[in-house]
Amino acid sequence: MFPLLETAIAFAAAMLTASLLVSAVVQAIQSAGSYRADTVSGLLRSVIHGFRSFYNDPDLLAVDYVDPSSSDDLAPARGRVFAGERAFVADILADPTLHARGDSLSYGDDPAQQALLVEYISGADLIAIARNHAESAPVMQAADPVVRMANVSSPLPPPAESGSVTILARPGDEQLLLPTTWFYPKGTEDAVHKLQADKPYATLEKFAEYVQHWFPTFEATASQAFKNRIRRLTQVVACSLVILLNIDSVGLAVTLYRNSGGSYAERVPELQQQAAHLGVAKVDLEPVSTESSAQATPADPALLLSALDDPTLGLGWQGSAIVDTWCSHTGKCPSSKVSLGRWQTASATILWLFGLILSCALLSLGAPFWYNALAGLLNLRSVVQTKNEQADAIKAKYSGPSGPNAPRPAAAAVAVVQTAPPAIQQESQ
Amino acid sequence: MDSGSLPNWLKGRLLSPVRSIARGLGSTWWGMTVPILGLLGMSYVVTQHPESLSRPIAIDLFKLPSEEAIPKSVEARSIDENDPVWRFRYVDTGTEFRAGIPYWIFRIMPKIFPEDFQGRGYDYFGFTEDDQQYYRSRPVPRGMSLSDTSLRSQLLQIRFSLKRVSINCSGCHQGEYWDAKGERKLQPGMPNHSANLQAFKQFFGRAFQSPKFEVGRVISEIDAALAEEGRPPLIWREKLVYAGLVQAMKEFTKVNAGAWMDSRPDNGPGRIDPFNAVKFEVLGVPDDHTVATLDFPSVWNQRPGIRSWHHFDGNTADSSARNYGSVIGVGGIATSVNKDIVSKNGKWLDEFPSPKYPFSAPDPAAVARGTEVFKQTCAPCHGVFDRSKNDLVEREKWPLFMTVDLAVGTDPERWKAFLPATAEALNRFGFNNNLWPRQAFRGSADPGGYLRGPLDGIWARAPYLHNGSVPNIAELLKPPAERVKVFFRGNRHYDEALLGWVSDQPTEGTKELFKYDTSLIGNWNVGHDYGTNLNAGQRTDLIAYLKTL
Repeated sequence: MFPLLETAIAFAAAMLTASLLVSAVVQAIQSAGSYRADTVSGLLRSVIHGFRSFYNDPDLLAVDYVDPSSSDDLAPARGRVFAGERAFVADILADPTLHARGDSLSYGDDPAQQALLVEYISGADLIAIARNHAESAPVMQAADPVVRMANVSSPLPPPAESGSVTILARPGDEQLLLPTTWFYPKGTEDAVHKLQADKPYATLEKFAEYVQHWFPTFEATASQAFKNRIRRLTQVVACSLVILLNIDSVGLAVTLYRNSGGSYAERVPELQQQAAHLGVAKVDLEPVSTESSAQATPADPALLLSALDDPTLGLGWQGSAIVDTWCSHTGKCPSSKVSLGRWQTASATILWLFGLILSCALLSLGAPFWYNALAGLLNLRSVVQTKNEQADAIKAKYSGPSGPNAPRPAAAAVAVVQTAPPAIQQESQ
Repeated sequence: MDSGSLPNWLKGRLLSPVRSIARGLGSTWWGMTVPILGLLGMSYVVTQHPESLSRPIAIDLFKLPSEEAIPKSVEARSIDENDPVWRFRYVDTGTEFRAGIPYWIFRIMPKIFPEDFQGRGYDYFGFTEDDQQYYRSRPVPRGMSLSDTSLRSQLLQIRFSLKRVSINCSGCHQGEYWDAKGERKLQPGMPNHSANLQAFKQFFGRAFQSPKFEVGRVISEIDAALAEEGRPPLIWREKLVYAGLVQAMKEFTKVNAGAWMDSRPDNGPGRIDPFNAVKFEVLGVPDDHTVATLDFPSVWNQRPGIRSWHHFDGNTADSSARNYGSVIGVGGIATSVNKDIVSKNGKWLDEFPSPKYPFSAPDPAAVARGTEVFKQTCAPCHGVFDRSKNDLVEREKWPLFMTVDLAVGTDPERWKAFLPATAEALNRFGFNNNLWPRQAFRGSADPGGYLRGPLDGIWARAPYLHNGSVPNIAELLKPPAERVKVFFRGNRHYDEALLGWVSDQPTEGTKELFKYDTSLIGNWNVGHDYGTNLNAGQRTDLIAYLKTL
């Protein structure tokens, strides 16, 4: 009815299909590479690093702010700092509080494996787990907390008096030392006293204050980093898919226009289902709901691949227009009969390359973009159809035949029934 | 520039700009490099070697010598690949990928399981030797193709150079009979009423699970077969391939996909239950205990002008659904269907006329009388087919033609097996796999019935009714209660008086025939009591007329 609109709808549906396949691949890579867990690990390392940096820990400053004139080998010091951060991350993420019994049984005591299962942690949880570790440390509290704390002034504003934040701090936290392994991972003689002497800020109270204040910032930064990482991965996967399947968007648009969109738009319900399964609108670092994950149906990449395999799209390399062009130009293929000139071949090739680059850019926009674009186009079609029908009705009302011989609506309905295929009218004899 | 500074030079001159550009585009250097290298690589192939992308990718398994040792077909005449009959008889339709048997394994099975063949080779299943119209000799029986294994999707076409034997169109739709001179004839488009596809399928499923089918035995039998051809035994990599194939076949048949057939009466020759095969084995629909066994249909005159709906219940008007669905029904998978060949076969069959009655010509006076009987008794449903025009005539007189007869009263199992939910599942499968349109199939009404179709070439379509439960027209014209209760299927001799294959003999020569019991579920010979009140003379005249269609 509206060739251009039908073409646009089919094109958007095809792009959505390819985008969903890209999303499926990205999700698979993300899952195999434990990207979310990796982001949480990075977030926690940032927290402990920032905590030490905030209190001007000399070990950390020596590594972070390198004196250019110094010839000291910083690798060992850096190794110690990093090892401490890793110990902190492992302690937090392998904490039994975060794991179901099945996970513990599957992975035993391997903190590295258990850490891979945690894809989200809140500031309150972090403090709670840190408290567990602080309370179960070899020495429960410092010998003389008053002396120990005398030289440490908190640069943080005092906790709010009300609201959820205040519940994070408890009386006595100032006397609880953080585990020494977070600062001296390779062990040291009399680590507790050394910690008290060198790092008087290493108490649960200070840690809780720090987390309360800074965790939202770290969380937002990590979330943004995760999104950037996924976006870059999406770009690579999208462009790789474009090349692998020869998705030339110019050629695709032309093919679809020639067929007035064809029947590709009929795939929209399946595509919407797949989009729902893939959660294309949610790519940020959000907690995974147990309920929703239990109900979720996995996406079906085979179905998406099959949808791209639709002959009406003309994707793929074998027998593609560009291959036919070069077959005709070089005469190397047995089936090529017409010889194409240099300029024709060159222009077709440039257009094809442009089509591939354009596809790469279009697919990099992501599945949510194409999902919304398709929805918009479908709405537009519905609006245009309605307006057309209204216009036709008005036209019929004012310009149609009138008088006793004019067909009545009932007669028209009978005519429609009579033109239906006879076999549909199943009759019994 | 010395060699030691090359990495730095590369880093400075090449990577840095890439990094800068990538950063500007919000990407990384590897995010830019990977697609660019891919694009350059493919551009090189397209411009320098377009021929490599103009044909299927060939995986030749290092050119196995045993593949070269497969006996060649010896042509009896020059073969024209555009000859539709040749294409129908010999070209693969795409069932080889999932249901094909590697040639050498196919060849040695009668040696490993002699008791299952009774010394008759594949003739035991009704897949007899080919005639010599096109080839003086072929390595496989009639109704089967020998071809490389291929996947034929739009995105990727692959051909594995391992020849497999598989059923093609002519496996089910090329009949065989003894003519008046006692010569064996093959008739394209006619039901292959003497081939037992179910027994053939069940044999392989059983054999692959047998302890007798093991790597050592298979390899030694193939070596013996190669020796018969004057070829050396399998080399080590071929032995590896066949060891893998034997294991794969055992794995593939470990879960008996055809187990649903065990709880149903045997099909016997010339019958199949294709819709339940697709339902249970492809769509994964739970067993609904229907027995939708049907007679192989004839496939001539398939054009919409004569047959606007297809299958016994008229469940589709779409020729791609009918054609590709048939391939799926006998073991094809969506990406293996040879759409080009199947479509060409379909187009040819649209116009391919029914075969003329090949036995003694009927008495013209009886035919004239029979014409009137037919017009009064049968034409209201079946229309009048004019052989000279290869078309229906006086269509306007027969408004019921090609509609579903809900009152026919024949065995209900077939329509019960294809209700709207099944149609929807099959539509979804076909649409998602680019085989047929979304609304290609329609489910049966409940209670349902069967299509009133044309009777062109009716002589060659015995036994009659959708389930082949009535051996000949003379029986069909009797009241259902008087029809024969038990008869024998698969005989290739024709009974001219009764208009059907000889059905009262338990053997054809030394070949044991299939005993058909109409009391079993799905085998009922009830219903279609039209024309049962004719007198003997009218029946004889009607039979004479039916021979002219």
